[in-house]
Amino acid sequence: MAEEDVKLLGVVGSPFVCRVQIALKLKGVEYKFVTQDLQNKSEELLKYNPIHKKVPVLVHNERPINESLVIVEYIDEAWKGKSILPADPYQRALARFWAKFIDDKVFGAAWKSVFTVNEEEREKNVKETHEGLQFLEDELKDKFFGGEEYGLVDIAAVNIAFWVPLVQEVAGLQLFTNEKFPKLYKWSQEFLSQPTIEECLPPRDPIFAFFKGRYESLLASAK
Amino acid sequence: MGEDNNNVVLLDFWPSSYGMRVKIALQEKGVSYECRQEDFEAKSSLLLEMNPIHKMIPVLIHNGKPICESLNIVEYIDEVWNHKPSLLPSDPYKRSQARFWGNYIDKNVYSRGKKVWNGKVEEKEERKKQFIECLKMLEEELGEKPYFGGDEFGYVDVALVPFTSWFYTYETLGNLSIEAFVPKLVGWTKRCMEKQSVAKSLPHPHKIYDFALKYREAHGYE
Repeated sequence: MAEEDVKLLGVVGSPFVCRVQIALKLKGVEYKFVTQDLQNKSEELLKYNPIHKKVPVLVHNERPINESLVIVEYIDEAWKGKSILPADPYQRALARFWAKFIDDKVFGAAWKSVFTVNEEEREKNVKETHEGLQFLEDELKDKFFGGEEYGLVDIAAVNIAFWVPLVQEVAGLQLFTNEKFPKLYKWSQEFLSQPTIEECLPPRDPIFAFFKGRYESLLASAK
Repeated sequence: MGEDNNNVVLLDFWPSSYGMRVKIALQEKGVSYECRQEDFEAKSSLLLEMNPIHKMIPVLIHNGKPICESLNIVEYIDEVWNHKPSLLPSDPYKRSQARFWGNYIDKNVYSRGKKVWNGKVEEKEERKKQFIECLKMLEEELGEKPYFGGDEFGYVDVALVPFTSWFYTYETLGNLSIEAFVPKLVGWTKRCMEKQSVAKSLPHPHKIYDFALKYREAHGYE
């Protein structure tokens, strides 16, 4: 059992921070959440993540780990309990591939679809998001991406399940809908209602208000 | 792992640093494999079948099952052929640091390096600066260690060393001296090249240079 002095530098409302919170909760790790002000970065954040200066940062016995998926794998390896990654090397390679796919191809495009004022940009990113979501839809064969139980890919996809529907509403876009992606939609409802997951999600209304404010500022600055 | 049922195929494109990573890992583990070259103008049906999402090399096909993305493949190789030498450290914290640096190299070295030999002339100085900045960051991480992995060659070394076959190209087409800025990193490169697995997997820098020249001509760069 790893020794305990665990801090998570983060902000409420970040999907990447949420992933780490889920992993910590799954393993039953007690930790201190240190809220960051990203407009006015703390010395602690700059010390522990000098290269990217971003959240989440997990600090375990004063040693920092950065990047949400790297942190989640670390948590899986450092603490016993429910496994987040599968045991079989081929299944692990697949899990890592899909988790990275979500970040590189789907979530980034979904975000850019919303937070842009350039119609061409928007169209291009909506198309890429739909393509990415379709791949995920086709990949989903069981109750969860991890099989009967959720795992790394499901945790990585919390961005898709919770944040994409939220920000698409901000911009009035139809990125991820039940009609277009029925299996994925069903998965998202199932996943978000799992007790451990539900407890880690931020409150929807304030986060919606925050992103709506951001979107409106963007529109205003473009006029 | 049964030795009698080990069919390993690598879909590759010889100038690709990402492909070289996989070759080094396979060599380190003493795994026999068949290497098939892909033509980017005419991707094979096998590549499209094995990597339908990205349609890119490298792809490792192990007993008919594809694994994509070079660092993913390197971890897979380390886990399946788990005899020594180990590529990733056994300590979870050190593993997390190795993965972090692998990601850093992935996001920065190729894209910044490419801009040095392919970018617009007026942006060249800024691009060179950014590329050197990235190399300096890596040199700082290396510190006084013989390898990024410490005393032993490992995952981060595998992730980075292939790009050094492109250094001659960056220097000649970019008009810069990498050694002047990051001498320790260049020292590390020479140390890595003494390893058979690396020497066998990296093409000669002049071959890369010829490839780069032809590429530039074909794509109409200055």
